[in-house]
Amino acid sequence: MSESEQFCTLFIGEYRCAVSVLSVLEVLSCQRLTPIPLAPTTVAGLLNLRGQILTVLDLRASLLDPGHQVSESPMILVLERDGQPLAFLVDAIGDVIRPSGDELLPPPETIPARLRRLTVAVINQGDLITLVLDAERVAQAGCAA
Amino acid sequence: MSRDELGEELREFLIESFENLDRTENDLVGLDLGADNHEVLAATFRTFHSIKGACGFFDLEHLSRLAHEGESLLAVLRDSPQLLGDPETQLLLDLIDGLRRYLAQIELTGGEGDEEESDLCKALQAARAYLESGGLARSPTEPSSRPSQVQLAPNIVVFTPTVESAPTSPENSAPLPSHVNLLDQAIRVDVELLDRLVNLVGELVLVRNRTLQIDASLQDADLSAAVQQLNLITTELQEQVMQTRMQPMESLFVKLPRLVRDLARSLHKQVRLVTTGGDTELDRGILEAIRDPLVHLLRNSVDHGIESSEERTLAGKDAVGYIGISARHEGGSVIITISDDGAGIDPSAVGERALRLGLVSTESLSDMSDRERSELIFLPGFSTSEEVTNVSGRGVGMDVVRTNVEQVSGTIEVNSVPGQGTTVVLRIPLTLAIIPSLMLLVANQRFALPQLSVVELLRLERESMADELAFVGETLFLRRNGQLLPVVDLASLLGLREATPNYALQLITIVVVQLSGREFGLIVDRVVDTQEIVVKPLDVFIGAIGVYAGATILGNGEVAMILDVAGIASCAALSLEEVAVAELAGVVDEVIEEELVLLVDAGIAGLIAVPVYEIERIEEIDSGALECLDDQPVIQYRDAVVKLLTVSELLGGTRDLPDSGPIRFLVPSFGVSDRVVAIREIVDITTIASMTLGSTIIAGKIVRSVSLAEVLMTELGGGHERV
Repeated sequence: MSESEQFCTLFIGEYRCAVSVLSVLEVLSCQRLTPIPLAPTTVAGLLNLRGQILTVLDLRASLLDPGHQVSESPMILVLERDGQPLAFLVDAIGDVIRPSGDELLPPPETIPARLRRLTVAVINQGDLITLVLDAERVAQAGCAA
Repeated sequence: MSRDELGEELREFLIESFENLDRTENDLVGLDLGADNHEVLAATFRTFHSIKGACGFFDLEHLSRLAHEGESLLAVLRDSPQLLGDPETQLLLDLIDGLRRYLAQIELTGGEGDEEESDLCKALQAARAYLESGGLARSPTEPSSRPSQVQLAPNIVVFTPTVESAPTSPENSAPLPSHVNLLDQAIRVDVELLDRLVNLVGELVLVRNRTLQIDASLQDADLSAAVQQLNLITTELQEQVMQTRMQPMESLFVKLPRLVRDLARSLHKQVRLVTTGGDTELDRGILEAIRDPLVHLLRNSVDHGIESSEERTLAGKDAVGYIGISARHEGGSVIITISDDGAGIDPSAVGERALRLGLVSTESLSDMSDRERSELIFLPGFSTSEEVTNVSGRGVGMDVVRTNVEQVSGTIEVNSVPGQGTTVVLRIPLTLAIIPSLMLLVANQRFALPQLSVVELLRLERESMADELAFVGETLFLRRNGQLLPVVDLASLLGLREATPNYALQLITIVVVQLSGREFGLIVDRVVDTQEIVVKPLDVFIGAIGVYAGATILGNGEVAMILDVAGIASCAALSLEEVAVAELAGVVDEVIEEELVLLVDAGIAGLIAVPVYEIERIEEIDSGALECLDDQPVIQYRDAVVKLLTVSELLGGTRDLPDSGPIRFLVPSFGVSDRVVAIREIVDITTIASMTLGSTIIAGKIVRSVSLAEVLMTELGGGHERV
């Protein structure tokens, strides 16, 4: 991870997370999704992204405990994996940050197990801790759920 | 002569020859005299040789002779490449032009014409004679010193008046433009590129739909005009692009005669194969998918269907067996029929065998109709051949055929008369990319249901609901024509609603679908309309849910799931065989009762029996009182305008109203007040068993039982009015 790498921050419940901006295709305000009856709860629904149908995975359902407070106006984050877009529902999208090299640390043991699987690093900026998620693992977690 | 009028082989010969000649011409022009030209000359030799070879096949005498002279000259040159000089190269180029003239003539008229290129032939002979004799003395390094050049040059001018200019400049060369046309008509395109085009057009169709909706809400005249144009062009483009993926059935049919002949010989049978409708076009992907099933069915016909010549003669049949394969379009699908005049399928033999193989139980077998028994051949692991032959293999059989056909959303049906033959009917959609679908509303969510699997739409009114719907064990059944139809409530199946049918509703709508020849009903909230939808694939883990065949984008930009009938059946644990056979047996017994029916002559629909309770009145009007509204005959009846429908059109046939004289019609006794049904004559009033479905025999005549309520409901749901 180079020093100049930029991260897009996002919020899932009380967690402040980030993904590499290079993996982000786009960010959409939440649109009407078509629910898929009988699909796992981690599937938020189907999205029409300019003629392409995307399955939107609800990261909050796969990462947080049931019964957590969800945002009224969630955002859709579209990441790229193997050239294919993958859409995720998150509570909010924050700034793009550019951490310095000494702010990037390996993930500590204290992160809840479900999140730790997806976390490749943390960014420690003063009192702000940001979990750096790996898009690939996030996608796998969503699909496997 | 258009490309269609030329035979397929001749066309290919022309295209190939033109291509070869072009290449040979380039090779010859690029020749470095004096270098080792052996390979080029050998290739040139092959070009002429293959043209000559094909000429014999197409009976082209002149072309053959010219190619032969060229070949002979080349044979000499090939062995002694050092003899090739400018005059010879020029002569060969002229020869190429001569060949092209013949080919162009064939392309235009289908024949080579009467003109002989005798001068050219003579020049070729002379050149060969020269090379074979004195040419040997010539040194390849000083070709210009030969006297023969002078000798040959005038010849060239004489025999090629039309191509005096350099043959290498195509714009001046007379025969070139026409063959360019033929080459242009057929270019090779990567199938993936076509698939991408089809996908892109699919997107365009969706954008078009969206634009149409926006336009409707804005009401801007300029925009409307532009959108209308976009609409037309998109539709045209869609048709044309789909067309690029279409291939005629012929491409599959051509391989069959040989297959049948070989099979028949190895089995010591005589079989005549007749294929019709080879020009019927089908998406190449689907064509690919039905190749194996078709071959399998054909093998079955030859192996199991057609009897040996002796047996056939004994049975009073022609010693030569007949197998017919036909393909035709019918309402958005392709119907492929494979029929033979062989031994047919013996339902009891099929039943016994299924029993022996442990595929059915004795009890269920005894309850089956002949048709149901015949359909046991579709069970996995079923094979009727007593011995295992290398022709039809073993075990794997009709179940694989059916699976393959259903994979492309097709259906298969077997009709057989023991001793007279078997007919297998495949119904295959034209394309998988865009399918006509019924748009359903279930718990306020839209779903698409491919129309191919829809048999009919039924509506139940509240009063009759309790009578007609009943639980047997866990499964809900609908009484229909005295038969029990398993019914699934889509909303509860999809987990969208808890309760099974909502009896508080005024009406419930049931979509009857068929799967593998079995029918079952789906309770939906509403049938919205029908739409041509573009099928989009789903992520693997969503597809794994099993009840969805894909998704599509609606005109308003929303996404709708496409339901998979087979998936729904298995999800609802509709063990259809079991339902139809075991559980039903007991229940059906209860509902057998005599029913009073009116026997009616319904014109081309034949004799029909209508339950008397469905008829309120029988009336008669003069055909002069008939009026037309939107191409639909209407009459004034009791101060209201009612539609006059004929039995035939209600049963899916054509309208058949008499041109003159009185028209009798039945006024139905139930809810539908704006429709009456025209008939010809009242024949009788009689009783039949109320569970009689389909047809029955009364007084020696075949009579079809028809429920007016049902056919009118279906007609009502069929698009004339919103349900």
